[in-house]
Amino acid sequence: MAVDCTSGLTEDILFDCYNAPVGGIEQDVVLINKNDVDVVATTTDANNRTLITNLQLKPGKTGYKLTGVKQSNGKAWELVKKENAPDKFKHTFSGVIFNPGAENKLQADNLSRGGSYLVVVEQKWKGAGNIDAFEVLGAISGMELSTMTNNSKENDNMIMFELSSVDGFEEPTMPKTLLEVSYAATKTAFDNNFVQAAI
Amino acid sequence: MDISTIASGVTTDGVRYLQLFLTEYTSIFSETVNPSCNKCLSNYLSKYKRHVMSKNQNTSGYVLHAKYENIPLEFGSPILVNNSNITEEYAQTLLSQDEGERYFYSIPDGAEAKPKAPAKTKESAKPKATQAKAPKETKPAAEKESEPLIKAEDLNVNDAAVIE
Repeated sequence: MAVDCTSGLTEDILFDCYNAPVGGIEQDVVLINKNDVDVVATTTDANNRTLITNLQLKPGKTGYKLTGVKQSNGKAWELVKKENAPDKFKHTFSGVIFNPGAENKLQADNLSRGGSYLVVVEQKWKGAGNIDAFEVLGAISGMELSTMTNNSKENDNMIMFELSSVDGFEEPTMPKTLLEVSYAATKTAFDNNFVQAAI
Repeated sequence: MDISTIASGVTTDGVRYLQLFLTEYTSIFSETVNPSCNKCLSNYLSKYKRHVMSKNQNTSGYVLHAKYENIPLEFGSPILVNNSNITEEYAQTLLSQDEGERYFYSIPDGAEAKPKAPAKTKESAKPKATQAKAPKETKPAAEKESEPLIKAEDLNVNDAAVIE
């Protein structure tokens, strides 16, 4: 039987007075090479396609921390209207590399080599029971380096960059929420850069 | 502690971490070291960590997935459980949690999780969709979950394997 994917609303959209909106993300984020994600073992919830229940990397792979200060790192997304197809979402992550030393520049240069990346961020707003704290940008299509700038007269000589969905290859959903059982477990995985032991 | 901290840090007594580390390293491995070579120092640290990890290898038979190392024993607990300090008791506490088995890479044969304690904390709050009962078998967490990350509907194609 043919399945109609153009589903409409299925539940109320409510305002939880005890969890009013809060802007910003926590200062550290995790960058992951998209090629390192085990797409078979990584799972979404059966009833909610915007919820990742396990983000698993391939054996021996790890994510990499980008440490920030205050709101130096940020995320955004926007709808991309499609004329005759389901709408898509453009994800954008803006990051700052504070120290323009050789080691950091090597990693910045690696970002520019055409790879595709996921970014896991922890929002300041975490929802009831902290279950909505983490979001994954670029979970399906990945994001690529779209800008990288450095100016000795601006921004204290820091390296500013953006990763974003490539035009025409945007994400099918907004950034997915990541919840691996509980906030504590998800936070532990995040702090460990989602490292997966080599077999 | 990372290598840059070791290379630049000093103790409250003014002794360089690097000096202490290399003294310890050479006493264990009895080899000549080069303190001015950053790459060598990183290699020394990795080798030293592997050595310490192997010494502390747990005998409980329980092994956590790498990404869940240092997971809080329970909500609000100051005890962080990892593969060095895990005991039967810690393992049982973790196993008694909702979907606790997914934290483990391996569980000894014959080990069973005790009945789950009723959830009372906010930590246990989850969307209804995720409240599936944890299966008995021990598999990598992902194998117990419901659906792969990439689905055909997400990609607007009929065959998800196309993207592989």
